[in-house]
Amino acid sequence: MRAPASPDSPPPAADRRLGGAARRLGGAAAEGGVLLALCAWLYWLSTRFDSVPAVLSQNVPPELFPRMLLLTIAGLSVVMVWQGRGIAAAPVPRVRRVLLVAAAAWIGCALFAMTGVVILVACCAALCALWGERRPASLALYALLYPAAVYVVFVLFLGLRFPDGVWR
Amino acid sequence: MALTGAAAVWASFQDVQFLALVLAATLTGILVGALPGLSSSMATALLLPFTIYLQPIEAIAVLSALYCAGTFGGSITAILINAPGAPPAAATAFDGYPMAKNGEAGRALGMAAVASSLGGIFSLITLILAAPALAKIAYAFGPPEYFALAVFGLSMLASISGEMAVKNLIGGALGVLISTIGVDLTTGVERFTFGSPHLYEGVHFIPVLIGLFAMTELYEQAGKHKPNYERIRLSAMRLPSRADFRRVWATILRSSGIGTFVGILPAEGGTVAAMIGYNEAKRWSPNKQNFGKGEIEGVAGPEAANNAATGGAMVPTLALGIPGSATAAVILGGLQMHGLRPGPYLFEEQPALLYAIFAAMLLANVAFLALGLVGAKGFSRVSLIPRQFLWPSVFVLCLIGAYGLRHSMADVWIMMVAGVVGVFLRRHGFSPAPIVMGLVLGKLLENSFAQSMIIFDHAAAGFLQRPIALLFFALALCGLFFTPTVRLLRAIFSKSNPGKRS
Amino acid sequence: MKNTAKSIDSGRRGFLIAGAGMTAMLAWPPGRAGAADFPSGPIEVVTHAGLGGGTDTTARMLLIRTRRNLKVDAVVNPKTGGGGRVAMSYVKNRPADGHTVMAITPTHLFTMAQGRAPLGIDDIKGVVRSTDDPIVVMVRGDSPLRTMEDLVAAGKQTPIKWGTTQIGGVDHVAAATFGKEAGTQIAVVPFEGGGEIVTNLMGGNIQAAGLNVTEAKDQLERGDFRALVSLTEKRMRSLPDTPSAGEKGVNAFFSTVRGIVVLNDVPEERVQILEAAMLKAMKHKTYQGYLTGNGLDADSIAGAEVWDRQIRRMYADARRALLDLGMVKQ
Repeated sequence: MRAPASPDSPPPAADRRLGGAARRLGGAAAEGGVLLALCAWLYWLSTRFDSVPAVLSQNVPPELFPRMLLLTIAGLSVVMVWQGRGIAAAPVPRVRRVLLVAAAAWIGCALFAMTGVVILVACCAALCALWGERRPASLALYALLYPAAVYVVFVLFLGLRFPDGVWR
Repeated sequence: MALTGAAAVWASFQDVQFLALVLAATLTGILVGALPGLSSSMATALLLPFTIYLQPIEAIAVLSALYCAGTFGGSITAILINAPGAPPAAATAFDGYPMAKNGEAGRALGMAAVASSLGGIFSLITLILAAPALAKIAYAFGPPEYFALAVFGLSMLASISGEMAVKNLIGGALGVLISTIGVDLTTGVERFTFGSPHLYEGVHFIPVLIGLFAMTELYEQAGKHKPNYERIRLSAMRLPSRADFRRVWATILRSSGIGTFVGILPAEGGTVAAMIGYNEAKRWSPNKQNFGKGEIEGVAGPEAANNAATGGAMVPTLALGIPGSATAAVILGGLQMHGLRPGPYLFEEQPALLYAIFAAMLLANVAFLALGLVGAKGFSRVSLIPRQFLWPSVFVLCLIGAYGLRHSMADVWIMMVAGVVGVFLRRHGFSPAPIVMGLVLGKLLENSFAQSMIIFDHAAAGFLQRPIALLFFALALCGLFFTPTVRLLRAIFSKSNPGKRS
Repeated sequence: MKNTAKSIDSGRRGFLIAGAGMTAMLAWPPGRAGAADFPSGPIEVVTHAGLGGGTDTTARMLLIRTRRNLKVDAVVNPKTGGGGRVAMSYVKNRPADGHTVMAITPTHLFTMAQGRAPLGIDDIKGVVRSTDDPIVVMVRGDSPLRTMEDLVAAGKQTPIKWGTTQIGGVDHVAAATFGKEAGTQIAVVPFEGGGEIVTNLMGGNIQAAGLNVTEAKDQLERGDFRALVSLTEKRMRSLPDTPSAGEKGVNAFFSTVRGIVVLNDVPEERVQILEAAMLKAMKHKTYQGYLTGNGLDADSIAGAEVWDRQIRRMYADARRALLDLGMVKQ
């Protein structure tokens, strides 16, 4: 559990941006706000579902269940904010490497759709380097051998088909 | 009948090729189960086309053994690196990983193996003795009963993991919300699909699971500043001591029963069984407050339950041709591929096949215990390889796992989005387990309700005439309100009688 | 086990086949092809379902011998999503050279009929039918509804609770069309799959269901279920005592079919090569054994002419029924 913010500790980043009101509302206010906004947006989407054909109009309407869920989530979010009042948000650590790893992973996935197995070599090399491998030999060996092993097991042995790309 | 059965099972053990195949499948199963992102259902599905080259009996035996061992294998990674190797092991990580962090990896793994083995054997004995009779329970479960069951399952979120009931319930509701994506079963209306055909049939829960567990863990690991080498070391897997065993035997027995029962229910697999098994272990334990911090009963509970569910899931699969879990559905496909039609007649027409399946699963349950004792060190290498090689490898497996499920890039993107969402949720104190639970039960919850309403001519009062449904509703109410009610009563009691205290 | 020798033998054969497949995959030739030497590369069967399902399994069983007959490799490429839409848009963008074929089910035809598919019925033509599994109206063995007439009469009082699969699919449209043609009321209860329908019919949660014989063969044999009428023109060979919709004068004919189609622009002589190779493959005992194991018979298999006519008629029926139900998107 988070400890209540002591008055002399420096305010966390989120609080500093949001000002004193947020500090009184507590750290859960931002979480609750995001959830409420999400609920509102999805509720709006649920008003735009297609109409149900007349023969099935007696059935449980398709928007009923999602709306009940959204109202439940919204209600629970309010309870959560209430319970969390006066408790400051934990500082969110920001590490450059998380962003770099995420970027590498997303780019890898995007390229995987186009180039199949080749990108795995680049992905393994990039991620391995990001995690701090500095010996070029073991980096190259890993980046070549591991995707090759994956290819042999999944494609040749188990019959998995990689996405059709430029190089099929 | 029982004697000829035992003889038939014994005969299969004497067939060398059969033994070798089952042992190989068990070994593959443990490895596949131990690798995060590779579930036994994916492995059986991918291996299915290749079993066409085997005899039908051998093929089904291989798939069944893979199923059992894969369910156990998942616990190795759950305990050692906090990433369940397979969905049913998710609950094992709650206490297994803290135990490993406390330097008790060998004890946790030993307990996982023994509990898994005992749970699996318990369910197999049930299967052999009572399969035809037990299968009849399935008919007593119609949509109203399933609705009540799903409500009961979700009500348990109020206490399942973490400390904040409200956040767990929000997580569960979010999971159920994800399951509403796609075409609505009873009206045919598309919901939250944004016109994409990839979302039309809904979001499959495996990519979400891989994202929430494995990708989120990957990002978390990347965020650790200094290369943190406090990896969980494992000298050897240890069989539980007599004291440990005395402590958990009741949990194992209870979880075996729960797991077998939940497994028998169609579509309720080891994941749900493990969640319930964990929860009940916690509810009945004298060491409640120790759960989540490395309680051995928290390892035995889910492990006995998820392996008991494998035997349970085979009951409706074999007796009715209705799969009891995702992996059982693949095995069902295997039976059909080999020209065998599962159903009540299978027991009369193909006793050899049935006993071969029993034999294979029994052997697998004993073999993974033995292999675990001998080779736990080897299997644990999954978590001992250096981080710079481990996590890129995990990423590739996430990618292949999400993609390989349906050869779909859409599933890869779902996995990636789930990974990022998981990071934010985790940082804000939401644990992934309730979301996954909501996702697993969500479709069942909504569809069975809509079906019930049609069956009851659109009058909800119809539920009152279904005793089994009422029972589960009552259990759900108890689960939701028991703790708050006790607290409230205690508060009222202490307020109205201030003099009696002190 | 007494058949160990045989199994080792078949195991070795398996490795040889797998080995041949791998070699073919590694030596993947470019997809350019003259008309004379078809097929010049691997055949790709595009399915709409995941691994291990009925469509996937049927396609794989069909390919076992087709590979040998065509002397090229053949692979299944699952493109799941959107009720066949993802598969159809993939096939649409592949060259119409006969190397890409699509395994279809009524799902594809109904998606087309709903006006949501990237391909129209005129963009495809049939090659072979691989399974044909008519829909049969069934009730529980102890149901008071003993004949189709009983069912129709009961439905006029209160709607019959009738189990189907997804709304707008073949089961739903078959139920609705049957209700309309026979003049009775039906309340459709949708389920996720045939297995669930069987359990719920058995458990008495629904009164009737349109099921395939393959889904309920055991229940029929044991008398747990009673077949009232088959939605076929003539009586089915496997159910000689069950009247057909045709002889009852009810114009509702629906079947769960699977088969292979290609784009309409694929040259006719290539279609014939594929048809011949696949028909030969399906007559082999491997595939026949698969059919028998699933409770189907050799009638399931049909050539291009019959299959093409059937998909067009099914499409027209679906289109008409969906218009009636108000389910066609503009």
